[in-house]
This record gives sequence, C-alpha cells and structure tokens, in this order.
Amino acid sequence: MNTGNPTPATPSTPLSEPAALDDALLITSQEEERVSVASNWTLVWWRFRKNKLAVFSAVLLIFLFTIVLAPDFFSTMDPETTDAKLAFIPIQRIHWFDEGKLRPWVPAVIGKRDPVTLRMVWTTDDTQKVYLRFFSAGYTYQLFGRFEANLHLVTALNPEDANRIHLLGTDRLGRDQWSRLAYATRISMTIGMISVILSVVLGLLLGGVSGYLGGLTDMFIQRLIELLQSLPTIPIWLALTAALPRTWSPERVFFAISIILALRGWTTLGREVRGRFLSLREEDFVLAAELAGASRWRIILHHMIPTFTSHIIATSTLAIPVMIVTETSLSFLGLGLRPPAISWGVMLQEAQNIQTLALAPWLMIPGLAVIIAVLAFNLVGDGLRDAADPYSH
Amino acid sequence: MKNHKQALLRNLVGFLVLFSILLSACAPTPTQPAATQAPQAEPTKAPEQPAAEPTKAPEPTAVPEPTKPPEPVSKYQEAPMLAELVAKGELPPVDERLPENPLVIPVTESVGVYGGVLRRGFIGPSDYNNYVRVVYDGLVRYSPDGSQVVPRLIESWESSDDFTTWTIHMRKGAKWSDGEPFTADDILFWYEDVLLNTDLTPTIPRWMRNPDGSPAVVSKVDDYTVTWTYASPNTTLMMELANQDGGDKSYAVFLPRHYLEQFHIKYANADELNKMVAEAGFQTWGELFATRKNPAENPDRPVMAAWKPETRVSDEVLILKRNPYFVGVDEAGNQLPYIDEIQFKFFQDTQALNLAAIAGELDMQERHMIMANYPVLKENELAGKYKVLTWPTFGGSDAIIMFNQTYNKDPIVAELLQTRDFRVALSYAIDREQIKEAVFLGLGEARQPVPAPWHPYYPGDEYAKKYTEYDPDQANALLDSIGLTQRDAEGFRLNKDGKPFSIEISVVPAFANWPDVAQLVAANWQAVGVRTIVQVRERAAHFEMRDANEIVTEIWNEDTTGFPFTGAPKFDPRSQPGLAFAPLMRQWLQTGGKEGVEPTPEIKRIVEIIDTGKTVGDEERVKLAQELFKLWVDQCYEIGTVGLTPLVQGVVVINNALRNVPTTLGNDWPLRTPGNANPEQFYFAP
Repeated sequence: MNTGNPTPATPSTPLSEPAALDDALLITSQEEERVSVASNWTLVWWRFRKNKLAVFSAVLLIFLFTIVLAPDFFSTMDPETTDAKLAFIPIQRIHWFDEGKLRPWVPAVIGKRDPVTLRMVWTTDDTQKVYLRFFSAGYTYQLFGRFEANLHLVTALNPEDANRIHLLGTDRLGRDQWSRLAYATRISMTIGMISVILSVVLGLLLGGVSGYLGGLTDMFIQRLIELLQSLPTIPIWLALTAALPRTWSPERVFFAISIILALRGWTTLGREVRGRFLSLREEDFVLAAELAGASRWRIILHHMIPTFTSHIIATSTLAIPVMIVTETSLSFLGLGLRPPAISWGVMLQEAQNIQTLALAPWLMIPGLAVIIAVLAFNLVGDGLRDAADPYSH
Repeated sequence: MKNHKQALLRNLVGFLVLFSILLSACAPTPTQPAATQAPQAEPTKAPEQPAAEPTKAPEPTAVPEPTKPPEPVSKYQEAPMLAELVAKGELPPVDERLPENPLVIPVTESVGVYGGVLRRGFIGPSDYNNYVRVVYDGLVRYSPDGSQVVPRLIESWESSDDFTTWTIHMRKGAKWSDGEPFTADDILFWYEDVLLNTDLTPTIPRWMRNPDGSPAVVSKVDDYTVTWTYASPNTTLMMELANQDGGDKSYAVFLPRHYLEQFHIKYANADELNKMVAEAGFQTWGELFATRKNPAENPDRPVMAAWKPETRVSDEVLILKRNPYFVGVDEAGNQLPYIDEIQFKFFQDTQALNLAAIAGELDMQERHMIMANYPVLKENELAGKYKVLTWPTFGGSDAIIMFNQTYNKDPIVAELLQTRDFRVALSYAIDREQIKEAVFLGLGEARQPVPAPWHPYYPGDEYAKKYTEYDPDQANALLDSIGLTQRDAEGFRLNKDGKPFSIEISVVPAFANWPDVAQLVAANWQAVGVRTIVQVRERAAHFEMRDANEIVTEIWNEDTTGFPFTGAPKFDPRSQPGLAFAPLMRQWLQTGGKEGVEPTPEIKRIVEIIDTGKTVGDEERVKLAQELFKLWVDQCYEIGTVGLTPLVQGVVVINNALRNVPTTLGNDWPLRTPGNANPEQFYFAP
C-alpha cells in the first residue's frame, strides 16, 4: 500500500523532499532540522506530492470543483434550451488552425431527416466555419446565484452562431450535452460532497462519544453501527428513495438523497474514530491535559481530534466516489434525481435506450465523467492515506 | 460491417438484459408500456352503415384459385396436421367440425398455405391483452378499417324497428374447441349466471342497463337464436358486443357452459367446489371462477377462437395451437387458421423486446414497439429479414394535455383551469412543430383531439386545427386579457391578486416519450410567463391521483374519438377509468347530484349528447358526434398536440415471409389491432 517508498531519493534533490525521512543517513544536519521542525501538515504535503498520480488527480479534482462552482462559465448555452430541430448532432471536432493561423473553429452542421429511416442525419459543412473565442461574453447567468455575469470559457466569435457550437453533440431534444455535462458535474459532485460531510460530522460525533465515554453508550452506538452495516445497502437505498414524496421539488429530492446516502456512510468512519479515541485516551498527553484541568470537550477537540485529522480527510476523500457512484446508480434506475434536475445518473438514464446505443453513442459520455471523477477521488484518497501518517516509517 | 453491427447488437442485448435484471429486481422501471388498454375506448360508428370509408381498407383481392381438386367428397380442406388426426380416427372429419354455414374470412392478398409458427413477444401476465388482441374473438367484430361491425361467431342479426329488441342468429353446428356444440345456452349462461349473479358482477355495466338502471333482458328463442331487449331504443348494442370478448380479463358474453358449470356455485357440488377453491388458494368461488374463465390463464378452458392456449400467460412462452373446430374458412374452403402455432415469448422489458425485433427474432410485433426506435428498425431491415409497416392511430391526438375541471387543492389554479381563455392561451403557446420533430420523428400533424378526416364524425379542418398554430403573441394577449398582467422577478405571471401560481403537468413514461412532450410544453408555457412544473410519475401513482382529484393537468393520448357513444370515451366525465377531466363531476353524475360538483352547462351538454347518441339512428348520431367535437375543441378542456402517428402500437415489424398482413389498418383498442387484420389468414410463404 505504501507508495511512499522513496527509491530515487538522491542527495541532490531539493532538500525539502520527504524522502529525507526515509534515508536519514543522507540528511545533512540542516535538512534534519527542517524535518524536525516541520509541522505535521507540511510533512503530509511533502509526502503527498511525491505521488505524481495523486497530484495529477488532485489537479483534475480542482478543475472539477471549478466547474461545480460556476458551471455556467463552462457551458456554451443554457442546458435547458431545447430545439428539436437540432436533435442528435454528433460531437463537433474542434479545429485549432485555420489557413495556417491559430484560429479555432468547429464546422457547421446541416441536418436532414432521412425520408426512409426518419433518422436525423447530420453532415458537416466545412465551408461554413463557426469560429470560437475564449473567455468572452455569452449568455447571461447568475454566478453563485447572486451576481449577474456573462463570461464564458468558449463562445462563438459571431454572436449569431451561439447555438451552433455543440462540442459534445446534442441529445434527442436538441439540448447541448457539453453544457448539460457541466451542470450535471455540479449536482453529482455536490451530492457526493454533502453526504460525505454529513457522514464525517455524524461519524466524528457518534464515534467520538462512543470511544470517549465507553460503557453503555459505547455499546449502544456500536450495536447501532453493526445494525446499519448489516442492512443490505442497495435495497435500503432503493426503498428510502422510493419513499420520497413524488411531489417534492428536485432540490428537496437532492438534499434528501444526500441525507439518505449519509445515513449509512458515517458508520465506517464512526468505527475508526472510536478506535482512535480508545487508544488515545490512555496516552500520556491526554492524561496530562486531564490533570491540567481541561474540560472533556477541550480534550476531544484540541488534543485528540487533531492527531488524526489527516486520517479523517483521507478516509472521507475515499468515501466521496462511493457516494457519487451510488447517486449515479440510483438516478440511472430512475429512483434518484429526476429530470429536470441534471446529474450524471440522470443523463445516463436518459441515454438508456436502443436509440441512443445504436444511433447516438456520444450520449454515453457522462459515464466517462463518472469514471474520471471516481478514479481521481480514489487516487487522491490513496495518496492522502499514505501521506497521512508521515512517521509511519 | 454487418457482422460487426450484429455483434454490437448482441453485446447490447447482454448489456440491456443485465440492466433489466437489475431494474426488475429493484422497482418500477420507467419503461413499462404495459396495458395500453386500461383506460381506453370502445366501439366505432354505426354497425350496418357504410356512410364513411375510414382508412383505405385493404380490399380483399380474392384470388379464388381452385386449390388442389378435392379427391374425396369433402367440401372443405384442412391443415395436414389435422388430416393426420382424422385419418387416425382421433378427430371427426373437417365437414363435421365446421358449422353448416361457416364464417368466410376474406384474405388480404391471396389464399395461403398451412403451417408455421408465428413468434411474438410479451412482457408478462400483466400483458394479457397481447393475447386478446391477436385472437380477438367475439360474437361480432370490427372490420379491418374499423368502419363497421361484421359477423364473427354469429351469422347475422337484426333489430326491431324501434331499436329496442335485437335478435342474433348463431351458426348451426358451430363447436367449442373440445367439440361440444356452441349454442344459445352458452350466451344465456353468461347472462343468467354471470351477469345477473351479484357475486360475479357486483355492478352491471352501463351498456347492459336501461335508463332506469334495470338490466336489459337477454332471452333464448331457440338453440341458435337469442334476443336482447331494452326498455328504450338502443342503437349501439352491436358495437358494444364487438368488444365483449374477454378483453382486460372481463367476461365475454359467451362462455363454455359445459365446462364452467363445475366452478359455478349454482351447478357445482358445494363440497367439491369449496375443495377446489381452497386448493387453488382462493377465498371465494367467484375468484376461482374468474380465473378459470380466462383461456390464457387456464388452458383447459375450451375456446371458440382460431388458436387455443396450451400454456399460461404466466409461463416463459405462451403457446397457442390451432383450434380444429374453428368456424372460419377462406374463400377456397380451406379451414383457417393457416398458421399452426403462435408463440408469445416473455421479455423482461420492452427494450429487450425491441432488440429481439431488431434482430429479426419476432415474426409480427407491433405491441411494445417503441416509435423512437423506428430509425434503428429501418436500418436493420435487411439484416433482420423483416419489413416495418406503420399503422397510424385512429384519429384523436397521440399526446394531449387534459385540464382538470374540478381541481380544488389551490383556488387560484382551479379558477384558471376553469377559464376558457386560459386554456386557449396555453394551446396557442405550444410549438407543435417542435414536438412533432422531437417526439414523433416528424410524422403526423398538429391537431386537436377529433376523429381522423376520413371519419364521419370529423367536425371539419377548421376544428381539427383550431388553436393549434404556434402563436405566443396571441397567448400573451389572452393571458393579459384575463388579468394575469403582473410579473414576478423571474418574469413569471402573477395572479390577479398578485399571488404567484404554477401549473403542474403530471406525466407517466408509458407508451412513448411523453415526458419529453411535457418538458417541451413546459418550456413553451414558461415562455409566455406561466410557471410550469413537470412531474414524471409512476403509472400507479398517477392513476391514484386521477381518482383522488389531485391532478392539475396531465399528458395522455386521446384515442376514443372514433367511439364517443360506446365504451368509456375520455370526453365523458362519467368514464371510469377515465382521464382527470372532471372527477368531481363524475361523482355528481353518479350520485344524482348528492355529492361532487355540478357540471357546467357545456359539460352537461356533452353528457346529454353521449346519452342521446346511444338511442338514435346513424344520421342523427353523426350530427351529434360532430356537435360534440366542435364543443370539445371550442372549450379546450383537452388540447391536442400531434396526432395520426403510429405512436401507440403502430410501428409494425413483419417477417418478410409472412403474407396477407394489410399495409393499412385501423389501429385502436376497440378494434383489437392487430386482431382486426384477421391473423387467421396470415401465412408463411413456403
């Protein structure tokens, strides 16, 4: 599991390398001092950034979270705009050069319904170029639901072409998949985050109480955890989501699903936290704090929790992809979010038919988004876990 | 290339099967087009009346080729498999099995040859009507085009001059599939022991009642003659009889008395009956009787239809074998059916069924075919060795929006729903071309829910197209005129009193991508400032809300326009099951004004038209129907979007070798499509 085995640690590498930890013989006294005075967090960071894959994934996640913050900035058009005459446009390839100059464009498409098969057939018209512009004004949106903005990543050079850019094609109602994917990213990632945050709060609280107090409370909480863990997850989620009133708005369904996911999500973390508490409460520094007259809460919050914060972060990072996949599966089965909410699962659910599989395979791209996000979270989580305990060697 | 494609499709089958397993394990799948039937209509126009010629009916181009000169004296020919049994002495000769005057079924193209297995798909016990539609077995039937009622198991009928008494003449010598005679007693058994037995029939259906509520009288004149007598004129009886065929697991008007008596309390030994009820796990004898009478649930039950079930609808494959006693012959004297056997293969869901059709594994399938798959079907025609036909629906509109006239949960919304200009404005606001392209593959036409242009009840183009043009300006002007002039911060209209409101569209993902229609309509309505919420609901939940008067507006299809006077038309507030047109007015009408909401004068007139139409002659009835549809369109209780498309069971996949399938056909539930195409005369080219 440990990716932190620093084989290429040569003496000439930048001195702040965590490699120094593992090969004490090569450390100069100056370096030794740097390491010994470095804070826990610094050590974690040194260790983490050695894992190139994890760092790359982290960058990817930061990018995804930028989309979460401002999906409109990334969209080329309103994700709800339908135009049946633009249905099933395939992916448009971006051409970066035009007549030898860097001038990105996408070819215009012309659609015609095949009179025999009634299928919309799109042909590219290379003579008509839709030139692209980056970081410029497009349709107006509400940034953070508050400020009016109109800056977009990509827009058409000619405002009249605004509806002719479909970087990832369109769906059966002529909605732009690129823009829908941006919005879906927001909802799917947020659901994952919210439910994990809820799980962490619940896990810390109940796990901490259980481990610190012990006795009957401990027994009760542990049996509760066992009960929750013994329940088969998929049927329980199905039952709970199916029980959500159908009259609820998409937003309420969204939060309800986050809570449902969190209800079981906290148990693993609760266990781990309890274990930590059990071992830590026997430690000298806890005893010292108690003797110094610190209150129970102060000991928990200021002395005990900080010792395993990094560990909690790593565990929660690993829990997010599980939540994302769960939300996606529930929505895919038609039990999670429902249109008009847009999530990866909703998009995949809409692509779940013969027509899409046979005629419009690009509509399965949201599946790729799920894979990328889940992989990235897992790699970052793994990297964090390995880095979480810098003294482990 | 082809191989590659097929391999891809095969993989997809696996993929979908996997998901369907998951889905079925979990919960209601969103793709359950199940019982198309439930809430639909009944019979068409006048019986013996050629007034209009609906769909260009496939003219029976009879080719009376002198089939192999019959060496023996036999008048009729039979299938080789039956001839063998006759030779062995296990079956009487064909002349003895057929009635004196057999039913001659016209062939669509040519006289056929015997043999073959017809493969179809079905989606489980709830899909019982899949069987009903293929065998379509009644005393009388609708013709292929749906324009008239034609004889089937009976020979002829006539009515008294005042239309109060109807006399039907049965076929002498007709026999059940077990060889027992089919006589007036079998009809009287239904009347006396089923219809008038309160255990089996708690409420007598409307078509069998006189205006005062008392049941009509059915009596036996002789073994082959039965009369129906009503207290007042009834001109729609034969249309009703055309659908008393056991559809929806109901009681057909003719039941095998000799077989079913053993399950009936009046005839059976009480102890034995109780034992049977207990063994079958039922509470009452009525429950036992009800299942024993369904041929596809009980292969022991004798039938009159061309094929007889050998297995059950709950089995993996529902197998139907030819009935050696079937009363029909072709014009050359060959006993029908041509095809030996029909197999209904079970599929987990409609997507899997559609894939099987694409792979050419089904010989004839229109039920559960998804219209959106039409392009895929067409592209695989050569590889799958099939052809795709379309049988557009029988008028009406394939996606309508019904406004609940008695909604009362929110007074603001209720008042708006009851405001005619509001409904008209919302009709103008819809871009039907967009819907046609997105949902109907560009087929069909924008129209209001009225019959097809070739139908005698058609009220004229003026009404079919009324309020269907896309005119947001007109819509805005109308909304302003009823006082919805103030807007909120997001630009949505506020009610006269300044309060916000929203209109909900409830939609079920049955048959078609109706949820897509809902989203398009919602976008159109929002564009004229009416805040609209789309709620996609599961079928059962939606149905419950209909009866509980909780629906604001709903999307469904309007397919009853050819049959406003029989069955349960959707514009009759009393129809149950019906759409959420005016549930509380239904209550008012049912309780004689004690409960519910009194209908408006317009709706009272609708009820009056329907009731009068049942008692008048054809000419008068056409006038009434036209008045009904003019009123219906003017009032806009229900707005049509796109109609005359093959959306509902109208995309037909036909094996290239299958012959005599008509290229045009009336398509509707009362016609039992494809039963009205006479599957008995389908045959496989050798």
